[in-house]
Amino acid sequence: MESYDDLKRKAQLNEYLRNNTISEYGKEISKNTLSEANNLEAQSKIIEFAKKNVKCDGDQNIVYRPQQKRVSKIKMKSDILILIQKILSILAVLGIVGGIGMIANIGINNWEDHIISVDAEKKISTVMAGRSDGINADKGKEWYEVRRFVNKIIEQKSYDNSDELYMQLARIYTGLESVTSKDNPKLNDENENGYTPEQWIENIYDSLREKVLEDYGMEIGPQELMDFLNSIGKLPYDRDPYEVMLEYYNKYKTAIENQVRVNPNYVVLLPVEEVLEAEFGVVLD
Amino acid sequence: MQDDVKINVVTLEDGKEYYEIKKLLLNDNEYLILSAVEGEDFAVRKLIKEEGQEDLFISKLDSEEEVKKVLKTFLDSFNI
Repeated sequence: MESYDDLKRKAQLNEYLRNNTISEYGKEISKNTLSEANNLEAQSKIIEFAKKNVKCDGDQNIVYRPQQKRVSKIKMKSDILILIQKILSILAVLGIVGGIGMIANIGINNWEDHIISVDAEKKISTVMAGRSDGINADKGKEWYEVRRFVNKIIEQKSYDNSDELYMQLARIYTGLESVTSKDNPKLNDENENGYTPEQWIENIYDSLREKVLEDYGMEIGPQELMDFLNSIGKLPYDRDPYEVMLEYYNKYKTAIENQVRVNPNYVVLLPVEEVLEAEFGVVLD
Repeated sequence: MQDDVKINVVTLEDGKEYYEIKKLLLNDNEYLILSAVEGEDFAVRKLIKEEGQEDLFISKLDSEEEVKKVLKTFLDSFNI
């Protein structure tokens, strides 16, 4: 049941919408934009967005005095992914991208057309050029960059249904939230193995890094770890992290070796040369 | 083993602390993409130098269009 404050907020919002402008924030938002975002929550987001980011009369500049803090790499990576999701949802409401309306709930419209505009040949050529010029001196980084391009290309080929892609993103998003949310009471609780979820993830990260280093001679980074964790789905914190790592590592390794794409968004353990050759017939010199 | 990074944190006009996720140079302006330390809010700001002042200042952007451009550029940098 909606609270009095919610109802009051909606009434105020409706008043704004009847006027079709948000003069209070000094900026006009077009009738078209508002009518496209035919959802109260979406409209509310537009107002909040304008209020928060666009200058209006009386706003004061503030002195830039940054302070440095230390933050865990894993947390920062997941925060950035959540931030990207938030920005995508805002841009979807504003009609810039076709609609990852995860929060705004305004539907999916040609998501791939807007976001994934990767020209396979061009991207591969670019990476190959970088490789031959020695621009990407860091082998691990280069491998990761190419893998990311390949992932997107694979998605383009595999998904003709944007709802499917959306669902996959939603699953990734939800998975990350369950790991990182401060409201998650499990975050600091020890499970049967004596690990907190954070320690469990650190443990699986370390063992995965060692395994990839051993098998491929490459360093795995936080992003790859996130990909790996996403591939597991709901993280079984009650199990031994090393066993879980091996199980999923071997599952994907075997699947890839059999050329069966279990999860099209996940090719992290396959050397890029094999992906390019298998998927596109491109052979890197 | 905890693997940490150092990151700048600034306090905005709402009194909340924000991480500096990225500094973007766009059309000769420097922009900040900020993510709230607490909660899941975010903000985009411009760094400006005011005449006669030594400090840099954080300013809201001039238009919604400018915000969109900055956010779009930020997303493009992730190749998504």
